Amino acid sequence: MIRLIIAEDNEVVRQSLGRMLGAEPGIVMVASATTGTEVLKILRSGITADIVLADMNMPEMDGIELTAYLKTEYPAVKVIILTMHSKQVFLERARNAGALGYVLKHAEMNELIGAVRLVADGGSYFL
Amino acid sequence: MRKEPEDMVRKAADWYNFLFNAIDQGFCIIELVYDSNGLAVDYRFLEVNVIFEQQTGLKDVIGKTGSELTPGTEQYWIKDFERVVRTGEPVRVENYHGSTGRWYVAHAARIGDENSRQVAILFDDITEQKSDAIRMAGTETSMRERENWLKGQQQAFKTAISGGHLAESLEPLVVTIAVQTKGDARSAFYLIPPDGKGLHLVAGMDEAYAEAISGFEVGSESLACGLAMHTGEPVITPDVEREPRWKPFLEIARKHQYRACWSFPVRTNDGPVLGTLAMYFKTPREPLEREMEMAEVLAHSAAIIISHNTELRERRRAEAALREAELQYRVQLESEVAERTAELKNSKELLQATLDSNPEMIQVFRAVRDRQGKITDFVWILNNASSEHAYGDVIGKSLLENNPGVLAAGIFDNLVQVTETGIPRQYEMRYVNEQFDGWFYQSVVKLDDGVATNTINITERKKAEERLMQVEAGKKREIFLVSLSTLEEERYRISESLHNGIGQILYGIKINFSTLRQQIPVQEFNEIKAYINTLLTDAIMETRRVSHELMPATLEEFGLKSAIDDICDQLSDNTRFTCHVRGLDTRMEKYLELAVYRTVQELMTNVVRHASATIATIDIIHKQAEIRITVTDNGMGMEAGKKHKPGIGLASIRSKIKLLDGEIRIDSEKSRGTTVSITIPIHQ
Repeated sequence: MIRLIIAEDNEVVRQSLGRMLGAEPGIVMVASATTGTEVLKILRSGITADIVLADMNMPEMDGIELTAYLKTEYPAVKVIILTMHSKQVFLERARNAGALGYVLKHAEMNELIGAVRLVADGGSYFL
Repeated sequence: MRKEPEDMVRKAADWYNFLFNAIDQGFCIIELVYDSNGLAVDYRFLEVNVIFEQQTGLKDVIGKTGSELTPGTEQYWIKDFERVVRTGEPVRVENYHGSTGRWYVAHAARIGDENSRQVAILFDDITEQKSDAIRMAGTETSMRERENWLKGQQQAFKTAISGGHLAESLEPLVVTIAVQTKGDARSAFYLIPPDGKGLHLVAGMDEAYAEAISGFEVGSESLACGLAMHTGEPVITPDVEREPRWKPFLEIARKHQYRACWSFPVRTNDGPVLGTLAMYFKTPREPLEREMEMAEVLAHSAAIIISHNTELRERRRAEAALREAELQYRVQLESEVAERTAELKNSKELLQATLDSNPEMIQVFRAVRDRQGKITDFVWILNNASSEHAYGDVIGKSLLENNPGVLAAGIFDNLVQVTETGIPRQYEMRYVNEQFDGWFYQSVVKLDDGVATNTINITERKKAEERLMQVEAGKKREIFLVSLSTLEEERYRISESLHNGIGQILYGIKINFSTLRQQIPVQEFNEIKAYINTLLTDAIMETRRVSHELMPATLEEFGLKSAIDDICDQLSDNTRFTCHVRGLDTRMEKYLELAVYRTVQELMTNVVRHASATIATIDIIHKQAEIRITVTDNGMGMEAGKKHKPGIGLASIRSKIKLLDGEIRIDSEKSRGTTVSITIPIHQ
């Protein structure tokens, strides 16, 4: 089972993603958060996760910062950045921070689910 | 022995009585009557013989006085008798007695010793004998008298003509009267002074008397000269003691020892009464015909003299007035000339000082022409201090020699044109030559055959203008940048709205759509479908919100107050906004409304997004010359010194307010909310 945490400040997106991904076989939603800081709190509370699906733009601590933190504090936790920005520069920034996936929000859901499974299996997904 | 003398006395008495009554000559013994001053003024009859009555026509005279019996008896009778008493020497006199109208030859001798006042007088009426002689002598006397009058008149006229005083001129007439009356009469002339009401003595009599009767009343009720002056007729008072009108003046008369007073008007033939002639006698007396005549003649002379004197005085007064006027005129003329000279000097000095005080250069040039009349040069004829400072002492020197640069710069041509045409010129010019390097403004006007110029160094002004242009350019750039950043912020806001608002909602819809598969249970399908429907509604709302934010239709249509109320309504959610808007009922200029609207919108958006406030108040007050905007919230505030990520717009609000010449002030403390106060002036 892939243990997944969703970090997304937009409530609609957070709930819809949680419902959609939680319904996927082999994927279990362990928690959801609205900021990067909240993700760190969750992990520090003892909840373990395989993958954090993080929105790039969040208040307090955005997805890229969170990736950098997790890289040092929880290297086993893999990060996929979910964003509306298709610019290559953002992708590079995410990759440099240690993210293993970069999925655009307008991509089909199959692509997102595929990317989650690929990263969970040790791969990486950058478009 | 004792009988002898008695006999002798008796015989003598008899002899005396016999003689006394036998002679056919009048005889009388009188005693002189003296006044308190010891002057003989009258006489009393002690004895008279039988013939006395025959000779004099007077009866019952014993014990009576001469003045009682014959008032107006000539003074010379008393004088002669008094001399006999005083000297003891007998006299023979031949005199006229006016009261009886007869001529007498009289032998008078004192009776008794030196203390006696008695005089024996033997007299004879010689009127008969005299009549022819008198007629002859009368003519002769008259001739002689007239000669005397003439002499007096001549002397008086002579004095008057030679410019003597009136009193001096009339004096000979007074003397003439005294001579004519053998000293019996004192006389005086009276006039009405130009400024006086009553009579005033001008000649004759003494000062005490003049003082006593000064201002003597003139009128029908008056007496003597006062009456004569009024009626123009002689007023003869033979005896003042007997005239009732004289009663109040008797004291004066007595004091000055006169009894008779005759007053004659002084007038030229047809002229008005100019004054009076008065004659005073110590004893009562009526005037004789010739005395009346004398008075008339002398009064007439006096009238001529007085007229002459008046004319003379008036001429003198006129001459004096003329002289005075001339003098005044000359003094005034001299003073005016002095004044004008001083004024001229002052105005010259004033002109030079004014010119010198002027920081601008003021110069006057005269044209120098060749034989054909062509202007070949100019010569300095005036410099003010400023010009002299620049050019030195160049008066009388050549312009072209001292400033050859004016030729190349075209200034010389300007001066020539103004001199020739008379049309003034003004121009700005950059001049780099001789004494000057910079910009100047010059005004040139024609003056005689040359020009007057006023030259102002405007180099500093030009530099300032340049600086101003730079500042203007800087300001334009600033406006451009503010506009640009406002535009960018606006775009960012739209982008944000699209990204975080509509974009996210649409993404949510997309996610939920992907979960709608055929095998899902109906209930779940319906739930997802309903959720998607909600999200679509949200998307529509969000689109409307963004659209509205971009272009507030309310502002255009209903004005600032409605538009701001709208923002309050829309933004009131977690934060409750209270709006107080005052004085915005009339529309302002569109740019100002928009500026106020955007400012308020941005401030409120900031409160909503960053302040975490529950209550916020917006006050907008429009006063005549300014608009004040105050937005207060009870949110978390800003910590002093801590760098806050500025909300969208706070920087741009500052820029905009600055461009509107407004002021912005932010009062904030951590946890104590924030107050932003903005004042925007309204330029009329």
